[in-house]
Amino acid sequence: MAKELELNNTEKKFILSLLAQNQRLDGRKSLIETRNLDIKINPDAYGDVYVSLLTPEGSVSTRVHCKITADIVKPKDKRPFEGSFYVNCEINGLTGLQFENYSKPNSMSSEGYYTRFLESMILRSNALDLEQLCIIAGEKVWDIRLDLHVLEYDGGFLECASIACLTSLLHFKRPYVEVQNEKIHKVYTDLDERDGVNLGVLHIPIAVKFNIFQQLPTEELIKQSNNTNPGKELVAIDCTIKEEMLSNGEVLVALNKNREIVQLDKPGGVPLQSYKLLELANMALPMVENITSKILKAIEIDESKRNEYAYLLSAENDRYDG
Amino acid sequence: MVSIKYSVLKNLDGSCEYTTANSKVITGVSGPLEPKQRHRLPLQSAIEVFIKPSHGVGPSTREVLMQDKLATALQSIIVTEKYPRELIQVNAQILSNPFDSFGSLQNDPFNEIVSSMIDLNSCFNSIFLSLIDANIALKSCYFSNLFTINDKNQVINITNVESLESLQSLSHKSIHLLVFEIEENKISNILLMDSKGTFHDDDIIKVIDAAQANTELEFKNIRSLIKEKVKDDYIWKV
Repeated sequence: MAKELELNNTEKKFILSLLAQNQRLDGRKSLIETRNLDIKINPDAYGDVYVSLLTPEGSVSTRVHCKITADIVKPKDKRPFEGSFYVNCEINGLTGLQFENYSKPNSMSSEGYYTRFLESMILRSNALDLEQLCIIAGEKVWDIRLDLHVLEYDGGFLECASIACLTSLLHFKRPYVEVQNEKIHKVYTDLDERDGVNLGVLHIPIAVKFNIFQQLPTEELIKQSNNTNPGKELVAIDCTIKEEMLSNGEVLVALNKNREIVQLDKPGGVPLQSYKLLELANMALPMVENITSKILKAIEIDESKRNEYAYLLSAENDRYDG
Repeated sequence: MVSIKYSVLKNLDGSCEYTTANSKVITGVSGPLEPKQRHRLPLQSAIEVFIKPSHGVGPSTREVLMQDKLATALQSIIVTEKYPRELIQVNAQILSNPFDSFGSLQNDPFNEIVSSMIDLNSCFNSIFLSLIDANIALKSCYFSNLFTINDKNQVINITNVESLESLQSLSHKSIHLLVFEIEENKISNILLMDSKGTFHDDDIIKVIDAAQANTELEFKNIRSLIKEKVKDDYIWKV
């Protein structure tokens, strides 16, 4: 039932020759140009975010819906002070016919692989403070579940998903819990009664995927492997699905705007000169900075919409600088 | 109150985003497709319904029950004889359900039922528009309603109830999902009726009357929407 996407030879050749000329099929003028980013935050809920990548003409190419739900659970015995966090993503027939229903995501499927990359990017870099999720040590902690729904898929899933994850983590508010005598006294589920508590997001890692296109046939490359000939491969950011299909390898880098590499992965594919890795990370930095400021801006705008009358209620004095 | 956007997913044959006062779903229809060998029926099309919940791994038993109800009802709406040995795939993704937030299901056992009924109701209506968008041959139209009877014997349309607090304070006695078949712009049959709770014969009559009135009202909008859509799609015909 799942129908594999196929490219005909003419299209393959055309896309590759476009890439060699620093052009993209969707009208982008450079290999390192990303599609336009659009972040929409649902005004009626917390941590409910739509992120889409728009083509230069303005049509949606990839769209992801991200939703966070929280639950109170018993912590793991080994980590009694820590809450838990889980990313769930299953791509099904709604996204496109190439995806099959009822197929469990695993490390072989791309979404399973990318989702685990995202989860470890957030968890192992301590981007989410898990200790803040503890209510009663060893008894009750918050379990944060993040659900990613891929509505439209045209490449760029990793970027889109990481932006959606971080935006909703920054935006989400869990209910305030009142503890008395080591027991939960009251959970303020009504956020109008008592303001929710933001999650502890300590830094904002953004994942970027580089696709490598090898220009020489593999035999040539093996022959040349001794006298290394750098610069023979093309590297593109934010590839569409057609470009991804033609790519010979990929490098996943997660960075934050403090210029730190949070996670790095090169799952097979064509070999890459080691110095290239640093080059790629440097290439991603301005993109990550740009995305981070867009995320913070979107949250700020949403905050000001929710708190329309905050300035009237505020007791803060006007301050003048000199 | 209800907002409908069709042709939202360009990778599928037909799609619709259906937003009511308290829920939001996105549905897509693909078909006719070539099915797997075991799904192939010699004289009619197979219908596969797949629903993903708004959160959590799915479809769980809650969604599978909804899928079965939808598949049975769609079986009698889609002209299955027209697509023998083929598959019509219906996918739905619940984007928001009023009972998503923490602790909202507690207190009243009815909340869980209402939560899944709201999803089912929205899916029914959204899938209808997706089917039309996908140009699948239909025998008739349908429209789904969701009503509750509270402890004061009032009949309330749940799709119009906005906030979670008012949903929780409805104090249901029974909940009824009614899908009407519409032929020639007139309600002809009850396609599906799903009721939960305690109720009498008169209650059912009351709900059917209310739902009938609601269907006539709401379907007018849907009909004009479809008319507009067809006009837009075939613009070259003048």
